[in-house]
Parts: sequence; C-alpha cells; structure tokens
Amino acid sequence: MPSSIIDANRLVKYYGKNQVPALDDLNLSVKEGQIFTLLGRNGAGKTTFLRIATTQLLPTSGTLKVFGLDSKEGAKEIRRRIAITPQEAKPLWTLNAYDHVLLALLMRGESIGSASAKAKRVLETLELEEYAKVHSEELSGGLRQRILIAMTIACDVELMFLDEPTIGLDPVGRRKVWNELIRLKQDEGKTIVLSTHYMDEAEALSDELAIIDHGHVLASGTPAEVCSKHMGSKIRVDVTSGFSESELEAYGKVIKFGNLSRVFVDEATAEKLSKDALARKASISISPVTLDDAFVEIVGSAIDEDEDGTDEDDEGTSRMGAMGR
Amino acid sequence: MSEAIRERIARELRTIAALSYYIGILPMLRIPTLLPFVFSTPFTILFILFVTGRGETIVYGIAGAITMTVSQQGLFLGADLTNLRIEHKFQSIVVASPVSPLTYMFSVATSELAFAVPAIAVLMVIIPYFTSQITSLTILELIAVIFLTWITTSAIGFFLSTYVLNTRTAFLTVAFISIVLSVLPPVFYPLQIIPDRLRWLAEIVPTTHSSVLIQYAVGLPTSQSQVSSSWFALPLFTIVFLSLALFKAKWTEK
Repeated sequence: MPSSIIDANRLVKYYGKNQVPALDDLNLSVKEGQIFTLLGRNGAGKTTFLRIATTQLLPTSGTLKVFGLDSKEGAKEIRRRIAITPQEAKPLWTLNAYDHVLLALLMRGESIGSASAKAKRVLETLELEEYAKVHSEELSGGLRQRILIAMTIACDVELMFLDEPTIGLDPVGRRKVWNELIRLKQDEGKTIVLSTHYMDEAEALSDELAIIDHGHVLASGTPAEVCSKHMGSKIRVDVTSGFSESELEAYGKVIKFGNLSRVFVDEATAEKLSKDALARKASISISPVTLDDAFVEIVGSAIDEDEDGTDEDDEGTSRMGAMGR
Repeated sequence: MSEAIRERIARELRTIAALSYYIGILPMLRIPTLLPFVFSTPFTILFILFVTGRGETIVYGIAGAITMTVSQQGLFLGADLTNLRIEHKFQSIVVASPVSPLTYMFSVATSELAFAVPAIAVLMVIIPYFTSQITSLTILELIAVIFLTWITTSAIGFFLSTYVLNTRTAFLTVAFISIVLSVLPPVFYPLQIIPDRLRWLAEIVPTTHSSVLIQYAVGLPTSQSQVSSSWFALPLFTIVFLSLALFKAKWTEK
C-alpha cells in the first residue's frame, strides 16, 4: 500500500477579512506514485489547496504535510522536491521553448550540459522540438501551455503540481500530455497532483480524485468508486425527441442540456424507456454514467443544500448560475 | 571552505546567472531597441541641462543621470517582478523551487542593471570631457556608489512588488517613486541649494546620498562633512531596505 505524500488535516484558509473561507475544514490525502486529481467548480478551493501545498500560501489553520513535512516549517525541503505549472501562467515573451525549459533547470542549479540534454528530451516528448527556437509570443495558446508543462516535467522532481494544465490544448496535445503524465507515473514513480475542469481528463488519468466545493471535500476515491457511490448502478438515457420533460420525469431524474434531456434510471426502467421510445420513434441513446454525471450530481446536491439554508455562503447563488443544470 | 559550501555557492551563482540572463540580458540582446527607453528620462534631463546650463550644471546633470539611471532600474525591478508574478505567474514557479527570495531578487536586479550598463558606460565616457577630476579612485568610488544605490533601490522594488496587486498599479507606483527618488531630491542639483530647515527632507532619501557622493567623485564642490555623512547614510539605507526586502516582503503569502 503506497504511503501518503500529502496529508491535509482540517485545513482552513481565509483570504484577508473575507468571511467566506476558501478552504473549510478540508481533509485530503494523496498517495505516493499516484495521479491525484482535484475537481471542483471555479472558486471551489482547488488552486488555494495547490498554493498551500506548494508552499506559496500559508493556511489560516489546520495542517498540510508534504513528504511528512509541514508546509510552513518544512518549506525549504519541500521546495527542493516539487515543481508546479500554475494556473493561467504565461511564458516569457522573448524566450523560446528551449530557453524556458533550460531556465527551469538552470535556476534549480543544474549544470548547463545536463540541463540542455534534459530540455531537448522533454521538448521532444511533448512534440515541441519544432518550436524550440520560436519565441513564445509567436506561438498559439496551446503551445505556450505545453511549454509551461515541459518546464515542470523537465525538473524531474518527486512531486509535480499541475493547475489546470491542459486548458487551451487541442485534443491531440492533451493526449500527448496525458501519455507523458502516465509514463512519468508508471516508469518513474512520480506523484502528480492536478486540478482540472475536464471530467474525461480526470477519468483518463486519476488513480484517485477529490471533488471539492466551498472549500471542503464532497467526494473522493477512484473515479469508479466516486461514480458508483453517488450514481449507484444507474444508467443514463439521452433523449433528443419524442418526450416532453414532464413525461420523462416519470421515469427518473432529468437534467436538461439545451435540446437534450438526460434521464438517470435503473436497468429495468432503461429497458422500459427504450421500448417506449421505439414505439414513439423517438431518438435516444443509452450509456453508463460517467464522472461528469457524478460531478453534477454531487456538486448539484451541495448547491441544493445551500439553497435549503444549510450553508450561508453568499456566493452560493451566483456560483450556481454557472452550473448549467 | 568546505566542499558543501563551495557547491552551494556554485549553485546559487548558476541560479543568479540563469535567471538574470534569461529574464533580462537575453531579451535585451534580442530586442536592443528597448535600450533607449531605459535611459530616455535621465538623458532628457541631462539634455535640458546641457542646452540651458553652463559648466558645473552639466556635470551635475551627468552625476544626476548616473544616479537616476541606476535607481530607476532598481525600481523597475518592482514593476518587472509584479509583471512576472501576476501576468506570467513566474513567481509561483520560483517559490515552488529551491530558489530563495534573496537569490531571485539579486537575479532579476542583475538583469535590470544589465539594461543600465550601456547608459552608465556612455555617462562614464563623457565625464572626462566636462571635468578633469577622473582618477582610478574616482572610478572605484563611482562603482561603489552605483552598487549601493542599485541594491537599495532594488530592495525597494522587490519589497513593493510582493504587495502590489496589479501590473498597472506597479508601473504607476514605480514611476511616482522614481520621481520622489530621482527628480525631487538634490540628484541633478546641489544639496546646498535646499534651505537648512528643509534639508532633512532630502537627507531621508537614499539617492540624495548617492548623488552627493557622485558629485564629490566627479569634482563638484561638496563639503567633506557631507561626504562623510553620505558615506555613512547610503550603506545604512542599503542595510535597512535590504532587511525590509528580506524580512517583510511577501514571499509566502499569509
């Protein structure tokens, strides 16, 4: 059983005099050699957690241990063994991809020979070698993002933090990054903590994940565990025509996405619904539930509780507006 | 010196060299057209003094331009670091690495100084045309004053950069402080012009002492007691602002 590399215990973070905590009694553990994903809506506390874990920010209370060291007291030692790709970072305009990776290594005290070899290798891995000598200001957003990821990967540290690393990447670029992260975990035993809004990314990469909302963990475990715990053995049926919303509600819980109605049902109801659809010549598709469904279910339930008055967070209502339920 | 300490120093030097080269020197080499922007303000003031003044006034202008070029670059560190922190999130990458705040500050400050070197070189070259006082000792004095002024203003810049919340505020703040440090105090004019009862105001500005010492080094009339006092005050300011940067700057945010 792998040991924990990160342990957060009752972690609380308030920014300034803000009465709404960014982290609220958060408990979380990341095992060594895993890819661990933080999921949550904007403002859920993911970046705050990553900033505390990377010793950039002090918690208001509670403890966060990285490699068994307190993130405040042991910051110096922790910093030697970690690297981060911050959210919404931008490369330096006049430097090219090769310069960036070299800089990341040289500033950690690597010799020029070793840094140069590592830089070339990482650029090749992320298919950036053809842009190695192009200034970042001339590159697309996705390529710039890959440069930032390359800087972190090149550092060859035990623990990597990637805050929304694949934002702006095209599907091919994303998969390149995914493959490299999986290789780093499997072949080199690296631990990777990332945050993302992409559920497919979380499903493809995560050994374990945590869904955070309002600064505390709502669900955690492997993607399959989270799905089965919160969605049971449900099946999702996507209906695009032939049924009114009220008719569908008779089968199960319905979520509307534009013209599409998604109904969550058990196996028997799915069978009945598909027969009814066939009779009406309605268009439907049936598939297992995904992490995306579980996420909406989990975070959506938390919002419902807020609305019922169980949470007095003023931001709850405005945040809900972005949910697309 | 033990092997471990030697290795640590070598690593720190490699870090400083890498950061200053990639953040300041390389961009300067790639876009040399940026250079005139660095010395446009001090050279504009010098130009006005050259056109309107005579003899000593021009030498005051040169002494002031040296102080202003160095202090301006030190302060620009604040704006550049704010930009690196907020726009590029580069400080997040640096904090989550073994690079210490002091090393980071020195690295970027060195890159800022690199931008100032051509302007200082030009000023050094023209000094002998206006004064006959240049000796090896003068050059050593000038280097020492430039060094202390650079450290002091860089420390101010670094301290500010960790508190300023956006890039626009940073550039405006730096522009304002640059005026407070380089235009209002006796940087381009003699300290003696200021009435005795207001002189303390000038004395609390570090660049006043930089300029007094540069003015003295290039042969402008300065009292020996004022020179001694400035040689005491400038290093003191350096220690105070460096301490402020080291102990009060926000490296790890609360």
